[in-house]
Formats: sequence, C-alpha cells, structure tokens
Amino acid sequence: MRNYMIRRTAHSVLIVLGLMALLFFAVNILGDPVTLLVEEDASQEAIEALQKKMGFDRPLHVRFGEFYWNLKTLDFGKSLRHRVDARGMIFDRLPNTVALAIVAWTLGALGVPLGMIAARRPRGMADRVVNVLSFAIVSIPQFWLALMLILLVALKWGVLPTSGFEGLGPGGWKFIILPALALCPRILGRNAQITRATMIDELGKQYVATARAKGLSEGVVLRIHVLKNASISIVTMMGDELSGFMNGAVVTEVIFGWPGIGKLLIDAINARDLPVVTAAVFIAALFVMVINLTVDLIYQWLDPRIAYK
Amino acid sequence: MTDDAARFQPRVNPLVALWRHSLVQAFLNDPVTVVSGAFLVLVVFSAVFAPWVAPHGNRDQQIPMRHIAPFSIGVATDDVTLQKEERYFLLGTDHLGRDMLTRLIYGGRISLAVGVIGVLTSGAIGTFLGLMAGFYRGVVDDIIMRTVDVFMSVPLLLLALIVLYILGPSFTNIIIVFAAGRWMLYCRVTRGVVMSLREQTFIDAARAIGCSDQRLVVRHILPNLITPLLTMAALDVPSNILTESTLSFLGFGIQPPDSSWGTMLSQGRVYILSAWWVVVMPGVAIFLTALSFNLFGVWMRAVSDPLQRWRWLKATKEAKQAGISF
Repeated sequence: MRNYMIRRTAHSVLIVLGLMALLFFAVNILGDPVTLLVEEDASQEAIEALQKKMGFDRPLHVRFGEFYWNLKTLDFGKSLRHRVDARGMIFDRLPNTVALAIVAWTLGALGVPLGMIAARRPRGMADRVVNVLSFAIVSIPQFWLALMLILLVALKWGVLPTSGFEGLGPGGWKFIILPALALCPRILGRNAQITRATMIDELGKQYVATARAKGLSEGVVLRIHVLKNASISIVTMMGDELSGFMNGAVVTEVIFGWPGIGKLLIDAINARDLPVVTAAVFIAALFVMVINLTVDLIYQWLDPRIAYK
Repeated sequence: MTDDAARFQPRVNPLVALWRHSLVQAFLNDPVTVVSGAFLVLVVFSAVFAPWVAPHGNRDQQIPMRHIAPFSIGVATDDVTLQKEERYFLLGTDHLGRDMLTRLIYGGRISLAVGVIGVLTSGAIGTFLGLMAGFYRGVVDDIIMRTVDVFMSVPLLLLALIVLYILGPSFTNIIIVFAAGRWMLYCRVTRGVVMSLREQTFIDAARAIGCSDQRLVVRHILPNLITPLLTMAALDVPSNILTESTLSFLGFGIQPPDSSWGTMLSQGRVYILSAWWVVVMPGVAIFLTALSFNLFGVWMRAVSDPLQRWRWLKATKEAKQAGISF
C-alpha cells in the first residue's frame, strides 16, 4: 500500500510537471510572452524594456530550466498588477474555491438517493421523471442559471444578496448560497444518472437474488448490498465532477464576485498578468491531482479486492 | 392473414427491414425522444436555412424600437427607402432594436457549427490516435496514453481560457480548443474497442489472407467503432455548445458583430432588470438544444446496447406480435 501510494503520487507529480511543460510551450512558442504581458498599445521601447526586465531575451532552454527550478519553491514570480508574489495570491484564494466546492458538492450528493429511487423500477414513472429531469439540469448553462437566480432570488424577492463576499466565517453564509445553487445542478444530475445506471446493472446480478431469497427487505438489499457495490462508479463520477468543478467555478465566481481561483484567473487574464495565470493553472492542476488520489484511496476502502502492490 | 402467407411475402432482406422496423418502433414508442428529435430537426433546419426562415434581417437595427417586449408590434424604418412599416416582434428586440427571434436563429448557426465541427475535429484526432495506440501498442501506446493523462488533468474551460488568451478569440481558435480539450475521450474509447477486437479471430483471418494494416483498420476495425463513437459524439455536441456559450459569455468566444447564443447573453446581461427577455431567450435556446441532444444521445446509447435495448422495445405491440425477443 505504501509503495503504491508513492508510485501513484510520483505519477501524479509527473502529470503536473508535464502539464506545466505544456503551458510553458504554449506561452513561449505558440504565443509571445511579452505581448501577453503588455497592453495592446504599448510602445516598442516599453516592450523591449519589459523583455530585458523579465529576461525574455535569454535563450528558450535557459528560461525553461529556470521555470522548472522555480517550480520547486512554487515561485511563479511577482504579479505585475498587484506587485506581490503570485504564490501568496493563489493560496489566499484557494480556501474560498474549496469552500464553494464543498457546499455545491454536498448539495449535489442528493442526486444519489434520486438515482436509487429511479433504479428500483427501470422505465417506470419515477425512472422516466428522474431521467429527464437529470438531463434537464445538466443541460442548463451554469452562467445563465446564475443570472436567473440573481434576477429572481436576489432582485425580485430580495431574499439573498446578489453577489459579494464577507469571509468564510459564520457571517458570510448568505453569500455562498446562490453560487453553490448555481453550481450544484450539474453535479446533482450526473450523480443521479450514474447512480441509476450502475444500480440497474447491479440489480441484475446473482447476489441480489441471493439476498432477496434469504429474506432481506428490499430496502436493505438496495442500501447495503447494491449501493456499496455501485458506489465505485459513483465515486469515480463524483471525482470527475469535482475535478471538472473548476469549469463551472470560473464563470460562477465571476458572476457572483466570489474571490476564488476562477475569478483570480479571469482577472489575471484580463489584466495580462502572466505570473498569476501560471500560478492559477498550477493550483487547478494540483486540485485535480489531489482529488484523483483521494478517489483511488476510497476505492480500496470500498472494494478490498483491489489490492495495491 | 395466416402465418404462411406472412412468411412467403416477398421482402428485400427481411432482417434489415425488421431491424429498421423495430428501431423506428422504439423511437416512436418513446415520446420524450420523439419530442427532442423533432426539436433538433427544427433547430438544425432553421439554422441551415436562416436567411429564409428568419422573419427580419439579422443586423437590421431599429434604435427607436429597442427593448420591445415579446409578442408586440413596433414601427420599423427601412434603411434605404425610409418607409415606415409595422413589424411583429415575436420574442421582442434587443438593445439595438434587432429582432430577438432572428438573432436567435442566426446565433444558432454559430452555436451549432461550433458544437458539430468541434466534435468532428476532436473525434477525428482522438479516433486516429486511439487506433494507433490500440493497434500498435508498445511505445506508441505509452506515449499517447501518457499524453492523454496530462490532458485529462486540465479542466476544459481552463485550457480554453489559456489557449484563447494566447491565440486570441475567434471561431477557428475555439475549434482548436475543442480539438485539444476533447480528443482524449474518443482516444480512450477507440483504444479500448481496438484492443478487444485485435485479439479476435476475424482479425487473424483477415491478416492470414494478406490484408495490409491499413485495410485491416479501415475495413475491419473502424466499422465496429461507428456506434460507440456516434453515441459519444451525440452526447459531446451539447457539452461543446455549453462550453462555447460560457466562453462567449466571458468574452473569450465569438466576438461581435458575429454572435452565438453565449454572445447574446453576455451583451444582454447588463439589461437584465429592464429587459428580461434579452437574457432569458438565449438561455432557453441553449438549454433546449443541449437537452434535446442529450436525450437523443442517451436514447441512441440505450438502443445500441443489446443489454438495454429490450427495455425500450418491451411495450411495442408490433415487436410482440412479430415475436422479436432481444
């Protein structure tokens, strides 16, 4: 197990390093880093001065080496706009995104019982309703839902604030509800779909007949026997959704003014602040990596047959 | 009619007729699929024939007629003749007095084009690499699959933002984003199918009679991939449409004067309080289109899966009478 963890972590680290190489390649070869930093109407002198200052006049391999060397200490350089370390900025924002993820994901977990209800009678009425609804809620554009929530809940009914942030403490709970509501439908729908599909699969297996034959109630069969076996697929799906969480988080954070990694990234791109962009991409990749590792660990707990050597 | 008479009725390839028959029955038997299919036909038709279907001109601005509510009549002035005429605005007008319905139809052109072309590009790249990986194995497989791992660890929107930040926003660059951000899905599926196929006897047989690798792949392996790939593609189109609209909304996608549904939303966002329809309509268009694609794709997946197909056919009277058991 320990060896497996070491190997698995090494693999993940390699992936993140590969990703950073890809980013370096994209910035330096596909694009021109200096034009990514300056405003469109910058003078030639300003561009050359910046080129010298940032060291872009040195050969590519030297800069590539330096880029990786600095990665070791998570040194992405100073933010051009805010004049502080990009590293500090991402670590300031990370807890906000994580908090949003946890709340949205908890709401989304409600999809599991919905999927279970649907699976009891495939093609039955409950199944049809859950099936169509689950596809309906994953088809809603998240940013549009966010706007509709603002329009109805915040502006028309005045129940919750339209946007903003007042810390993660108990005083700021009002501000997290709407962003989380805008984010959760996708997770909810996917959870319902995958639970339904795997439960239907599992229900056709022999052990279910055995469990029923020995007189267990349908509820016990479903909740204890079938759900545990189905949960491997469900956990995979949840992991995927959580790592894809960044997709929705970017636009939701922008709309609700939630100071997380997504908003940081968009602001940095708009301000042409390359160091912060690099740092935000790095932390997002790290986020995905940690989630995938966690999912792997949960697998073993769910299915002891999976032996890690 | 007796059984004998039915049996001796002349038919062209009865198996094919039966298959088609049951598929059509399965389709008609499910109202949800019929509705979503019909809606898709409508959307695609109006997008393709936009200039003939749209009630007014796409860029026909009638500034005095701005933000007219849905289901109302406004007075428009012709640019050239300066003649005034009454116009019916079914879905209202936007902030420049352009007809919303017309804008939606033209916007659908771009949104659908991005969705479909994006799927075709990423599907072609992914399928090709998946074929290489699954067929040749070894080093080729290792390199391709490690690359897949790296790409899988980037959330699509993040990749899109970076690529569009570097290359600048445009239709072509959005397609590049989808090609770079979605090919892994097709690659994985293709590789999986190819790996299970290449061990089978018919491949050995084909090789034994002297098929070249190219012929083996194109004539013997590729046909087996059509169903899983088509199903994936049908489910990938809506996700591309949603991503494109998000990008356009953030200002990194389709740029004015061209507009997709996402662009319309981002332009209308500031008027959300005074003219709700400017924000609601494009969102509904995206939602219904994505939903129809999803429902249709799911039906395709279910019907192409022998383990699930019977559920969709069970209630079909014709299937029962014909004694088809799946």
